[in-house]
Amino acid sequence: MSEDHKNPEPDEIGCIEAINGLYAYLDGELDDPEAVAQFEDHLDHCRHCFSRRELERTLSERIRKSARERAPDELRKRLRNVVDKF
Amino acid sequence: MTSCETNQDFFRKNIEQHLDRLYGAALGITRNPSEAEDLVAETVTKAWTCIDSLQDTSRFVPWMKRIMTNLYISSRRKAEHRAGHERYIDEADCDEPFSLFERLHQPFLLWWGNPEQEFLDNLLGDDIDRALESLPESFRIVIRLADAEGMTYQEIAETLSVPVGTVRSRLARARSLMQKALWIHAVDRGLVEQKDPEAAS
Repeated sequence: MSEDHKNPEPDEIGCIEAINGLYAYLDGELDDPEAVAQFEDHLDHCRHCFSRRELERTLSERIRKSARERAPDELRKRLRNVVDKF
Repeated sequence: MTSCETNQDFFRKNIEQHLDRLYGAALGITRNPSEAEDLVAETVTKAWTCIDSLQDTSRFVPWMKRIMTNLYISSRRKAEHRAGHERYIDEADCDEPFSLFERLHQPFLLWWGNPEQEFLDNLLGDDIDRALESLPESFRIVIRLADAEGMTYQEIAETLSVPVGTVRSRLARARSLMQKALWIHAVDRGLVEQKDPEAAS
C-alpha cells in the first residue's frame, strides 16, 4: 500500500479495492458510473495506484501495437481466388 | 450493406479492407505465419457459409475473429484429443499472482528516475512477443482477445464458450504470467539493476 495512502472515507475506495478493480476498469467492464467515479477519485489522490494503472495501461497498449501486421500479398491473392469461387 | 450490394460484394470488400487485421489476429493466435495464412483462409470459407448469421454488418471484424478463434480452438482440441491428451485448460503453474509494478518497486532495485518509465523505455516489441509466446495457449488467446482485439468479457466468453467469470479469472492469471515472463526476461537482459545483488537473493 502506498505511503501517501490515506484511510478511505465511507464513500471512498482504498488501494486494495482499487487494485482489485483495476483490470475491470481498464477493460471498460465497470458498468456502474458511481464505481467508475470512485475509482477515478482514488487515482486522483493515490500516486501508487495511479502509477500502477499507467503501467498496466501501457502494457496493454504495447500488446495491441505488437498485433499490427501486414498480410502477405500471396494471402491476398489466394483469398481473392477463394472469394471469386463463392 | 447497401440495398444494391450483394452479399458477395460486401464480403469481398470487407475481406480486402480488413485483411491486415484478420491476419494479425491469426498470427497472434497461431504464432506461425504459414498457419496464420491457412487459418485466415479457413475462416473466410467458414464465414461465407454462415454469412446470414451476421446480424450487424458494422460488426464484421469481431464476427470474423470469433469464427477464427472458434475454428482454431476446435482444431487444437481435435488434435490434442487425437494425441490422447487435453491441454486446452487453465493449466499453467500459477502459483502466486505476480505484479510487475510491485517488483519494480522493491527497495533493493536501483532506478535513476521513474521505475515504470525506465522499464517500459527499455522494453522492445520483441520482448512483448516473447513473453506472449511463452504463455500457455489458453492464456495467450485470452490476452490477445482482450488487449489486441478489444473484445468485451462477454464477447470473449461467447467466443471461448466459457462463463464470464472464467474470462475474468483467466485474464488475470494470464496477465500475471505475462508480467512474470517480462520480468524474468528483463533480469536476464540486465535491464534491472540491483543496488546489492545479494539482498535480492
